[in-house]
Amino acid sequence: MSPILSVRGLTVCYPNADQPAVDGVGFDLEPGATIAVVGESGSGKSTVALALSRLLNPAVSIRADALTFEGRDLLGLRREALRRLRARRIAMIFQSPFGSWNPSRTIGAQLVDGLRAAGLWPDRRERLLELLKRVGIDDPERRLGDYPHRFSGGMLQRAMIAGALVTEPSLLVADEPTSALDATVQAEILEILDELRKEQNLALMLISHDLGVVARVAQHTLVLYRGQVVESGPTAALYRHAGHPYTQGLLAAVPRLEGPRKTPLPAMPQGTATRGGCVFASRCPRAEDLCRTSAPSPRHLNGTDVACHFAEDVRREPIWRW
Amino acid sequence: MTDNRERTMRLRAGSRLLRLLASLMWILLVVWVAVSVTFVLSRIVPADPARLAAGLDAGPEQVAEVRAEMGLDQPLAAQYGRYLGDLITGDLGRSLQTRQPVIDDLLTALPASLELILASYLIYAVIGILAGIAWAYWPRGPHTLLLRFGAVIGVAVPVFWVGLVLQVVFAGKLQWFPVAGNFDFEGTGVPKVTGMGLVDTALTGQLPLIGEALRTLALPVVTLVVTHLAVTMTLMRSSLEEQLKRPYVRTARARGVKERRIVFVDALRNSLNPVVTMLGLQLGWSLGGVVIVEVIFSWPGFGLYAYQAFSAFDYNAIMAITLLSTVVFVTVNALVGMIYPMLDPRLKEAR
Ligand SMILES: Nc1ncnc2c1ncn2[C@@H]1O[C@H](COP(=O)(O)OP(=O)(O)OP(=O)(O)O)[C@@H](O)[C@H]1O
Ligand SMILES: [Mg+2]
Repeated sequence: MSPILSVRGLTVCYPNADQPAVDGVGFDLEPGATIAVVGESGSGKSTVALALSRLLNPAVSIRADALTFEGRDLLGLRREALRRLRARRIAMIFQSPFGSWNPSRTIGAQLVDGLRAAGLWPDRRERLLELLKRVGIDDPERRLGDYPHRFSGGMLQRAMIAGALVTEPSLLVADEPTSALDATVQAEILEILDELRKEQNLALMLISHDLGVVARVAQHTLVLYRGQVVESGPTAALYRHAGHPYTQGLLAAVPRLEGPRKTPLPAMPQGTATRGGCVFASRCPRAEDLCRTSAPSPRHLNGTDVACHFAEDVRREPIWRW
Repeated sequence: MTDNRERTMRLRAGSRLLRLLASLMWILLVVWVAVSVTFVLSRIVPADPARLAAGLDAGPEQVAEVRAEMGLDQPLAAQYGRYLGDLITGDLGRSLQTRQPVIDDLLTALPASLELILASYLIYAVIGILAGIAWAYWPRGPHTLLLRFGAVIGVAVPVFWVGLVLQVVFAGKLQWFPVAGNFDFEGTGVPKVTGMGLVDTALTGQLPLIGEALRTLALPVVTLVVTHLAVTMTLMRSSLEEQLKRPYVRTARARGVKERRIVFVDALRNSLNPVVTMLGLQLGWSLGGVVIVEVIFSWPGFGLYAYQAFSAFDYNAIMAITLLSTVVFVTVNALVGMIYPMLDPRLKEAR
């Protein structure tokens, strides 16, 4: 099957930044599949998402060797084509439930705007109500007349999902859709997302800083550090034998109920980007001179692609246990 | 359930009435404070109103006579009581300068000012809002140079300077416009309906007369517009730009909503709040704001009257002027406060 989304060497630079926020990221996404993008705050996850749908402001430079969606070059799209693509093919859900809605317009008005933009109003009216019910909004007809402040964060995010999926897009980019919500609602919403993905054969790009969250739904995981993919591969393989110290650190940082507390990752030393070396070198306990002078390129190793000079050793003798 | 709903509705209607009453009380309170402060101030200043009223060449008996006639020989409390009583019956006393009841003076002066204020206000509010929107909507391009220039001029250059330059150039040198004064009703046969030249000539439907009214209005109105436009424009622009950076705008873009719709339907309404506040304040201050312009162009309105009253320590007039400015300011602000709920559903529901 040919991928629905293909990214090669995606590099994004914010104006006035001394290093790119996203640096040479590449991955493929099959139709109906789920890919997770993980990494701590500031690793460039949102920037990847925004670059895909070209939602970054024009002053931000986006370069890529390839950025194709359904066979079309995303970087070459004109304004109107891009708008139509967003309306029909690529849907997005953002992190902050409250900020993502206009406080002075009703939920219904804003959802209808989306359907109008897609040319699907009023044909999909019934479908919208149905979806709202599906995601757990009772009496949707009445709730559509409510303003966002009448909704809870979880409800807003549910409505956002319904609005995103009612146009039957082929790709949904969900940027930390549950980070602002409490754990039970989080699990529920992820479940709904996963169900709907199966039903609509939707490709899902799920962004999170929580590996525990994505493990349940994503077949494939991409680990970002300072804008670079340090490790990627099938989620199961990544979990079983992470080959990058950073991945291990992330896994070790997943809070667990049983067992002893794991060592947290050392804090990020700001502004000590090692030019020419491995991005993780300044925080890596395993780092040697080689790591500070030469950047490792990703190697295929036991199911995952790892960008670490010492992946074999690290895998044999994990730096952090999880 | 219906019962409950009805009860809630009734409660809401009741609380709305209460709110209205409360704001009315508030206005009255502020006005009363202003009146009292003015009264106290007028008795503190060293000038002697009776002396001024009697004239410089009056003898001591005459001054005493005038003093008694004005009630100035009474205790302060009695004077205050009398002053309040007169106010309530609409008696603002007599102007020392014009020897007319102050209320009559004001009634002739106000339409002239109102004409100036309304004309300039409408122009700079509308143009300011539109220019601000355009600036935020098309943030790049040669037009921004012009807008930026206009904004700097409007903020940096004082009213009197703009007024004087316009007067010297367009009235003095080029003689396109009259140097001073408002529309002269005398000899034109235009009936004085509102007292505003433009409105009354428009009512006659005679183009040459309307043109004449416009010509008298042009320079003072342009002066006011130039000096007020910049604030409206820059505020509108920054407020809209700020809204366009909000996450909900990104959501709308991600949904494929057209940019024009995002700006005009989503962002514009949210950005109006500070603009409405500012325009409200400007309207509230407008009676004070026209003073300089009216003095420069000898426009016989409230501002010129106030200027003359203050210069001559025409204290009845001063009291009336203070009172009127306060009433206008407080009332306009209360009215503006009623606009906010229309812009923000949370406030609307709270009512
Ligand atoms: N508008 C911007 N202007 C300049 N730099 C930015 C901007 N947005 C993000 N960055 C920088 O780009 C880098 C990546 O940011 P991004 O928001 O993509 O991270 P993230 O992985 O989504 O983090 P989080 O988990 O906190 O959402 C960060 O170093 C950030 O400081
Ligand atoms: Mg983010």
